[in-house]
Amino acid sequence: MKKLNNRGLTVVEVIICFSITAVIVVSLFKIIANYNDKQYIESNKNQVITYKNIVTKTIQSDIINNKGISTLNSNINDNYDSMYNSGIISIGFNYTNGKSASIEINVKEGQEYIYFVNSNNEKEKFPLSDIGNGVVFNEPKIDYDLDNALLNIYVGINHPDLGDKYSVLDMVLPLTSKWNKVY
Amino acid sequence: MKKINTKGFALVETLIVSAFVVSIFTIMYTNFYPIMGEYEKRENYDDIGLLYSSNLFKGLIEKNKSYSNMNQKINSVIRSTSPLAYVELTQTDFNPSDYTSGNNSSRDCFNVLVKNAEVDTIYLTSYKISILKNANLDVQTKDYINSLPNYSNSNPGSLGCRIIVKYKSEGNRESNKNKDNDYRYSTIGVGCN
Repeated sequence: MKKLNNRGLTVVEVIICFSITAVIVVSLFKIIANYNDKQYIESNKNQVITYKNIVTKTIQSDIINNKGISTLNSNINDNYDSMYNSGIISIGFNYTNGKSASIEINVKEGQEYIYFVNSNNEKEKFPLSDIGNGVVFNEPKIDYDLDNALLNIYVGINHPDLGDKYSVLDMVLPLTSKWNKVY
Repeated sequence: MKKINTKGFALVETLIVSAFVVSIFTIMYTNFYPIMGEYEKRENYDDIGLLYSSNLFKGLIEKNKSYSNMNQKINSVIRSTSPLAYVELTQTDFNPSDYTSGNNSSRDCFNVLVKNAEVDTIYLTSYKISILKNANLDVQTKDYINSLPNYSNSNPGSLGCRIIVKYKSEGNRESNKNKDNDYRYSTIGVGCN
C-alpha cells in the first residue's frame, strides 16, 4: 500500500492562510456593518414616512369628505408668532358644509405632537415620539395667502439620524371661497 | 484495497473554482447594488403630500377639459390618430375668464398652485403610458416613468388621461434650502373623456 502524505502544512503556509482569511473577514465585516447602518437608517425613514402618511391621510380625508375648507377661524399670519412662542400652534377652520375641525401642533421640546379634531369632534393625537427619541419639529412654515385664499402648511423635523431633510406634514390647502374649481 | 488518491487539487483546478466563485459574487453584487439605488430614488416618488397636490391639478384639468387650448392638448395625446407621448401643461391651457364674483379664474388657480406646491413641470399623457416610456425626457423623469407600470391591464373607467407632476425637491422649499437637487414626482389619472 502506498504511504499516505501526512506531512501537514508548514508554518509559513498556515500564516499565509490565516492572513488571507483575516483580510477577507475584515473586508466582509466592513461591508456588513455598512449595510447594517443602512438598514437602520432606512427603518427610521420608514417610520417617518408612515407617520406622515397617517397624519396627512387623516386630515386630507376629513377635508375632502367635507367638500373642502371654506374659511379659517383666525388669520394665522397675525397670530403665528405668539402661538409659536407659547409652544402650541393651532389652526381652526370651517368646512364648506358648515362643520369645523382643527389642527394643533405642539412644538414644546419633549412633548411634540400633532393633534387633529375632525368634523365629527373625534380627536386623534400623533406623538412625534412614535418616530424615535430625540426627534423635534423644526419651526413649522404656515402661511395663509389671504389674496389667493390658500393655506400652506409645512412641518419639517430634525431627526438625530436623518437630519432635517424630512417633513411630517406638507399640505397645500385651497379655500373653497375662491377655489371651488378644484373640489 | 482501493488505492487512495492523494494528489489533491491541481493549481489550474483551484484557479478555475476561485474564478467561478468570484464571478458569482460579482454578478450578485452588480445586480444587488442598483436595487439599493432604486430604493433610495423611490422615496421621491408618489409621496402622500404630492398625491394630494396632484389631485388639486386633476380637479382643475377636469373643470377645463372643454376649454379650447386644454381640449386641443387632450386630443393630441388621446384622440389623435398618431398620439403624442406627452404634452406639457402651461397657464394658457386654463381658462382665464371663468371666474365668478369672489372666485379665482382657473388660470389664477393654476398659477397659484404651481407656485405654492413648487411644481416644475406638468406632463399630460394618456392613461396607459406604454408610448410615454419611449419618449425623450430628462434622465430623472425617465427613471420615474420607468418605475411605473404601463397600466395596460387596469381599467381606466372614465379616466382617459394621466398627469405626471414634477415637483422641485423638498430640499428646495424656502424653509429648507440646499439639501439636494432631486426632483420629486407623482402621477394620477384624470377624467378627460
